Amino acid sequence: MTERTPPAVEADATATEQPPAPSPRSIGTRVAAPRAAEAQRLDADSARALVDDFHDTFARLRAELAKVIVGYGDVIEEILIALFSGGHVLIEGVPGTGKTLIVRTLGQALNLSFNRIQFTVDLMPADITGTRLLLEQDGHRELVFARGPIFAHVLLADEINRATPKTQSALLEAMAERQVTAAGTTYKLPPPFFVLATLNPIEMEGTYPLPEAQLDRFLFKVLLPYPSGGEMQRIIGSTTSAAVPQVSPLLPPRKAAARIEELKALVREVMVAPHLEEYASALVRATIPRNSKFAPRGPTLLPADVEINRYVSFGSSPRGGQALLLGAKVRALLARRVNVSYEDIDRVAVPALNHRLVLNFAARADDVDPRALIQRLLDAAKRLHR
Amino acid sequence: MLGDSLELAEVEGRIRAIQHRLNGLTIQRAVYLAATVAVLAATLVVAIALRGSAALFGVAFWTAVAAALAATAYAVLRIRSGWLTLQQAARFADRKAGLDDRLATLLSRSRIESPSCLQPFLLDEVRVAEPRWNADALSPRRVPRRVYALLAAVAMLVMLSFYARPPAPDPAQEHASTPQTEPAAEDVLFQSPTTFASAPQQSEGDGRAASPQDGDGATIAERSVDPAAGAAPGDATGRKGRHGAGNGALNEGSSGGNASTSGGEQLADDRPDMNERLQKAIQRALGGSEQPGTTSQLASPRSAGREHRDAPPSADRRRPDGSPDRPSESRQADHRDEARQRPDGDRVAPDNARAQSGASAASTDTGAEARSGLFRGHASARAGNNGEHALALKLGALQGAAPSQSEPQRGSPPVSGEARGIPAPPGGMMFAEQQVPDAPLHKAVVSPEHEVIVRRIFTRDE
Repeated sequence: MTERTPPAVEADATATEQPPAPSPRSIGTRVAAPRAAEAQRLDADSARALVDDFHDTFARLRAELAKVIVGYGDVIEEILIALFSGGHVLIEGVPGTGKTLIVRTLGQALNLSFNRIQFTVDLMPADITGTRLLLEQDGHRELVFARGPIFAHVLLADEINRATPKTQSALLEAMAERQVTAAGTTYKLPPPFFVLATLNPIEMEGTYPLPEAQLDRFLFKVLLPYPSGGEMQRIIGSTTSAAVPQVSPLLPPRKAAARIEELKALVREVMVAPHLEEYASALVRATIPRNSKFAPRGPTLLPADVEINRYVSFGSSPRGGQALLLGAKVRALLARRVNVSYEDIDRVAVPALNHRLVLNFAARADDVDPRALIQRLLDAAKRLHR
Repeated sequence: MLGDSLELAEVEGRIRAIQHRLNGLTIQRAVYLAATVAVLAATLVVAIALRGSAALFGVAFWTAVAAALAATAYAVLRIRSGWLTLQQAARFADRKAGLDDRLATLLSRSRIESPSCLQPFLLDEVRVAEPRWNADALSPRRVPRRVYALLAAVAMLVMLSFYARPPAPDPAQEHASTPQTEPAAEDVLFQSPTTFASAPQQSEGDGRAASPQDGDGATIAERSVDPAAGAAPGDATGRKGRHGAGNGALNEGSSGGNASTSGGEQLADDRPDMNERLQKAIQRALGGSEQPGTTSQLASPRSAGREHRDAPPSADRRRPDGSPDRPSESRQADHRDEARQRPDGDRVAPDNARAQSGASAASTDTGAEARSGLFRGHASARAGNNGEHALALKLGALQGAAPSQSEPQRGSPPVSGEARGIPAPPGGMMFAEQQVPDAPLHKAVVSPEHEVIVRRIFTRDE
């Protein structure tokens, strides 16, 4: 059930035991160094160079993916934002829309190790994390831990809702803690550890919907719709011709992971004003129905929304706010800014919050889309921009 | 880092300047608004005070007070809600200059001990964009437009005081009444021998309103011959209040309180004509005082007192035709008009009374005060104006030249004016058959030092 790329696994093992040290000469190293000292050394030009480097890397990565992935520009951007934010992405889409292709292409472009796990009902946690094997070597036996497919930089968990909750929770720990515990031993996962899980919205029979706690571990939930007419034509044409588009790696193999980590560290340096933090907090609190017994107390910037109170059982957790700010920071860097604005938060609000709303039966009966609820909140929150 | 800190402080200082200007503008707007509402309310009050009724004025006044208070409260709330903190001023500058919250972010990060390594980049961006967000670009020094509303309200108030005044009196009437001021003094002197002086008057209107029933304006002769009349001043003053005194210009005894029977309306219509005739009479008195018609009208105070004694009491005074007297207010109005128009010289011109009202306004409440002011008019006329004093001397001579031949004997029946040689009124004022023109009382000028003696004489006579 697992698809491995052997070189990546080897590199993965190396990365796990001996993390690559960042080069002191690289710009990103300055970010990884102690912040107080670095802040004194960086001048405006160096900081601008960092921002430009991030912007260029992102743009090249997106362009490289666009060679293979036809359309889905917004989906690719959201996936890359989640990658540089240090989160995981849940992709929901019908079969055949290129979910696996997107993830594999991303791994190739970043020159990172990539594994794919096809989740089935009989998939066990050890099949993901690894297991201890009794090996006989030089005449005596010993238990050796065989790493599972989870030990990769980029992991595709295909149709994650088909596995049992036990297996899903094994992935849950790995996503949250970025480590695996097997037979009492904890193994660190190689950074960057990036999980892309897919959900098949059809054939729900025999599936195990992800529990809310596990959904909350994903930074974004991206909807992968059917391609448009023109995109469909290009997909058909490009995938059936003799010349298959190839992706060229953007980063050197040994430095790719460290480079990604540097860029992730740069994202964390983006500044957020207090009123924007308050705005993000207000958005998150607005997703919580007022009639819930867990409703927050105290005044809020945004009034209670009728639709939220009617259709939502549980709102977003504080992780939703973290996702908002982290995604907004990446968007600010993509705009060559080092500070977050209202528009940055608004742009990432839907993918960051839509899977955190637990809808009730009335919402399912009325076929309410949580994205529409969040968009209502954003429209109501426009007045806070002034 | 030191340079960055200085630049951060500089940025903060400029944002603080923006904050101060914006808050100042907020205060100005609120104050102008409140002042505009207050001035408009005052304009309303003034307009209604000039043109409206008293009841409407009360409503308008309290409405204006409420509006002014509401505007003040609104201004306070407006200032409070519009007051900007430093962070809010930074956000305002971000919004106006299109800086995408750079200033607010930089300002907030300046208070953090461990700044971001990207902060120099942010500071550099802010510095480059400085022309867009400095105080002069965002909030230039200016007066808010709301001040024009205030100026318009003030202009309206000022213009209202010019154009919404009540209609001015008729210039002809004004002209007719004004020249009487000078002759009125002489008129007093000419006629004051019958009355000696006018009693104090409280106001101009009261000075013109000569109520015959008050009695406090009665002559010495009246008081001397009629104890009731002597007691009248205090009573009448206490009864009538502000109308009680100041009516000494009327000869109560000769008229019997019925001199106002010709009708105030008709007399009011004839007022200009009457004034002219009065002017002529005064001129005759001044220029040709030896005319027999004038001198023959002088009567002694004794006859006046007799006539007054013959007259019914004030409570049940009746007209010559037997009809009951009208209410005191109506009589006052009639006398007000009559006092100006009677050409026979028995009445003191209203301006005469007006001239005397100021000096004697305070002594209207008691009879004693009224009595003490009896000679004030003559004394003041003598002391105040040399010409009048000379005229008084001349009139005194006239009185000596025309002695008591016209003075009837006590107890004799009243003699008509023609029978006594009194010519018909020059203005053609017609009397009924039973009516006789008021015989002007002829009194000697009594100097203040002789007043006690005169009082003693008349008291003894009583």
